[in-house]
Amino acid sequence: MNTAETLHAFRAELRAAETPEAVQELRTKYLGKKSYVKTALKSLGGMSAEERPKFAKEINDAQQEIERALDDAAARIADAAVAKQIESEWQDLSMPGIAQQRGAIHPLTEVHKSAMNVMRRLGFVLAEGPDIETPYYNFDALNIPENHPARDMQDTFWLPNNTLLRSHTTTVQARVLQKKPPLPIKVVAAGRVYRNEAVDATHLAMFHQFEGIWVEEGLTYGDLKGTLTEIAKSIYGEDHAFRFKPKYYPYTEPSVGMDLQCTVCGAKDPNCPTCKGAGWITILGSGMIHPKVFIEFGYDHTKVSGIAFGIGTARIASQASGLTTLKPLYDQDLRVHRTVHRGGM
Amino acid sequence: MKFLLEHLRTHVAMPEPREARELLDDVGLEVKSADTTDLGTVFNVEILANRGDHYCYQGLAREVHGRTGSPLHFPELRKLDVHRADDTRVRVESPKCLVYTVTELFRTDASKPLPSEVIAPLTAADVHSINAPVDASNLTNFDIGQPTHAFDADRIDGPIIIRESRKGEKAWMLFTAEAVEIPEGTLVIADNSKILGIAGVIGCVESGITEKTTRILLESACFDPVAVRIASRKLDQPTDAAARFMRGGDPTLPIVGAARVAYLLEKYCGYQVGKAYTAGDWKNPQRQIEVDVAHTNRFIGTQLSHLAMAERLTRYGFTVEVEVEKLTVIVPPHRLWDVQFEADLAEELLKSVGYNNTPITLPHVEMGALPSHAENVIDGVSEVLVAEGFYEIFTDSFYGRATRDRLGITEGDPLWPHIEMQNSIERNYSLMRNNTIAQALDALATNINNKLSNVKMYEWARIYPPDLSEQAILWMLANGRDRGPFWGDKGRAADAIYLKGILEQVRLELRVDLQIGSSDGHRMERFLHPGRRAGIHLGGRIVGVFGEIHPSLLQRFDIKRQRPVYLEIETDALFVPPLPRVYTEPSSRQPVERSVAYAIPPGIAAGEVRDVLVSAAPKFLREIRIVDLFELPDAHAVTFEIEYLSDEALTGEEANAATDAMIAAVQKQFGDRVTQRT
Repeated sequence: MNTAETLHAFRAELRAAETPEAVQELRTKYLGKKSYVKTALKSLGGMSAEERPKFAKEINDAQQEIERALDDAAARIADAAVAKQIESEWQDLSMPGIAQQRGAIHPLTEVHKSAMNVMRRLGFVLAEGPDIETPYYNFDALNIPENHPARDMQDTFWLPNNTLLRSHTTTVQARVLQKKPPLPIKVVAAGRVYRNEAVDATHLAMFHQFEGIWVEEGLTYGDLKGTLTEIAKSIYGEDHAFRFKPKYYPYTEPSVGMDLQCTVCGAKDPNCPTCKGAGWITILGSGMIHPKVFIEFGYDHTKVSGIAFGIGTARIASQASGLTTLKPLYDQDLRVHRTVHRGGM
Repeated sequence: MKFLLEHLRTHVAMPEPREARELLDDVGLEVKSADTTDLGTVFNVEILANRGDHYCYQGLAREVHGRTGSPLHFPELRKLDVHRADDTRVRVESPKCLVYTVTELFRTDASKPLPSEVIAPLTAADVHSINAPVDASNLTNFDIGQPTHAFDADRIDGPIIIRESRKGEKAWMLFTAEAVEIPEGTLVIADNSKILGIAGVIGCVESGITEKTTRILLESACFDPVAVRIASRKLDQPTDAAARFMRGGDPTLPIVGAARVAYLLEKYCGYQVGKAYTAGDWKNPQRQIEVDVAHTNRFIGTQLSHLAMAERLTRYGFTVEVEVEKLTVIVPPHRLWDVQFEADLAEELLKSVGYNNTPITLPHVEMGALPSHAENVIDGVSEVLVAEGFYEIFTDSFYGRATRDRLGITEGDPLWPHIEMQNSIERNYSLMRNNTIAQALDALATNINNKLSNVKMYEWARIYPPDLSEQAILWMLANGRDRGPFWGDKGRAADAIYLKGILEQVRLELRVDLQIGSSDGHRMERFLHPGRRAGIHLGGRIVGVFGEIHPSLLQRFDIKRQRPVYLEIETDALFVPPLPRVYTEPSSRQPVERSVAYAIPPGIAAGEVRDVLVSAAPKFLREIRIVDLFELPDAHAVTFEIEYLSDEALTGEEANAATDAMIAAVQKQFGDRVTQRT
């Protein structure tokens, strides 16, 4: 068989090769040790000087053609195999995705964590206190003496042995101040508080508060406003308007309320159901710690001053979640929690 | 409290309604609602608990005056012929009565009601017109904040005596059906034979004016706030007068109040005014407070001169003696009850300047703070649970007796005693919870009723043992499938093994050596399926429990065809310091694996078999894993995968010999009860 016949036979066999294995067989047959090409190359040594260059070129050309043709065929077959695989492996991606679906921390916890992030930047640490308290920490130490009308501000659950369920987390502040840690004192107290009220859409017997105190020499009302603004902006964002107004809390003087401009009507709708036409919604209560509280715990109120504030976490969480009332936050209907968590996603 | 804007304008200049509302809000008189009525704009204002003087138009006007400086107008008064009362007329026997006055008023044939335009403030506040004396009294209270009360002079037996009630004494209070016993020591107004009224709270029927009354003794007084509050609460009489007095009345105002009532009745109603008598030993203490001008400016963020500061304080009724660096401020009688410190005056100045009209500053902060270990633990565990599809929820810290009954607890049971709420107005809140499983099942039932049976939830909660201590726990409940359900992948049941897996992840997250063991002795054990429960142990102590809810408990909660699982653990067990991390260099050699399968009958745990295998294992055992479970008719077929790894070259013969020894140990321990499967 000569070169032309070999190439002719190779081309015919290559046309019939449709698998990588068949191509490999041809590679062995036409380029292997016993192939015509290899045998011919070995025979070059026995040829005359005139014949050798011409034959060598003929064999080299044949070898290159075979190699190129085999590579092309291998690539073509591989491409065809991939194309066939792709065609056979179409997946309907309109089907819902499958992965363990995450649950969620509670919206109240989200608010707590956001607020804590700000407070930590300012150097605050979290303190804990009991739910079951004595009247001293809940009232007397906080300038709410027995038979003062301020006790009516917080309908109280009374328990045996003259104990009660704390009506505010300010009790924790009292306990911290009593320990007299070194100044500055920067403490956050957060958790459940209780009010003995008839429960409806807007009144709960148990809800959450987030409070803080900052005690140091030289703190001012301006510092209070600055701290509150930091907190409010971290929770609500930079683009909202806030205002401060006089309030009464027995344990602060001056006492200060902080309002958020109504995010629904922008203070423009006198019939707005959210702000009831006020244009503003109260988001927290605060003030400078009352001299009587300092006196109670042995601080010199003429030298030391303090910032105190309390946030109704539930109100903020409901606002952030798009809920119109607080109660669903405390229901265990996971449909609500899932909807809140997904937030329209 | 409802105020008519148009009437407020007779006391002080006020802007248009919207601006007026903002102004009132800005000075601390929060307007809860504003209504446009035939009478004009009616504001419902929330009165602060410490400011009795705000319970009137004059009080509101004074606050506005303090801000705007607009002139303050006081209602017109009738000049009275005032005498000191002798004992035959008025006798004050208790120091809780600070000031007491009575003024004689006489009805004439020409007497008539107050004109409707005059009583508009009452109408706006939904106070119905009754008769001229009562309307004039109410109107005076609204205008200047002094409650008054009209007695029928002809129904009074002897002098008026202000004293504390005696044991067993009864009084027939207005608007009540019959006389009731008055708590001993209550401050009352009496004559020689009966109680005429509860001081500062309410009058009595037997001395009240009627259509036949011609001679009136108008009481106008001031009482100790605490005495009034105690009486009001004990007698359940939350009257307007009590609300005013318990916040602290103005002891100089009674005679002014009487003069205002006299003015109204004389001018509009044809009454004649007689003499007025005063009694009581109250002396104005002339309380003084020094104000450091520089300190106060710094404290509130103003730059007021000492003169400007003084002028603003006088707007609120304070008398001020001015020096360059300090002010000496004398507190007026109407503020004696709430102004005691320099900080109180700083608040007045802030209201005058405007809470929003001072600079906002932020003190320098040296360094931030880091979360505590406990906070990190809570975050870490929460993340494990949330990643597994759990939702955090909050349940109440209390429940009703019916919930305790549903748990099947009876008297004598350790879980029977609860902390009992003394005064809950909701029946469902009568007991502080000493467990959370009831509320967990209620939460599950709620969701099942909402057609949601694949439920995973958790709560960082507290329970309240009867000794008034508190214990923080983490509980979780899962029901339905462990994941999904997805199309083509329904997962497996979220069962006790699933909870065990969660616990193992928590253990790894926290690096706390929580161990699974017996649930014996845990107070919640009885609520879990006896064959599907286990205890969680730490340092030899049981700190938690988990397992499937007991079928009989599910019946009591009417939960059908569900197999929820519940886990509870003390949070203190999670807060212990984490175990140190130990790093082991990966071996350069490949492990050698062998498998052995056993048919294990009910009653013998796979873990027991595993323990026997381990006990007979060579030193080069690295791990025994359970890799398959197959249910046989009368046993579980469990496949153990044994992995050997040695620093030395390990031959197949050595691995086989080790495995044979372990199999022999199982045979020796369990005999034919546990059979090897090929």
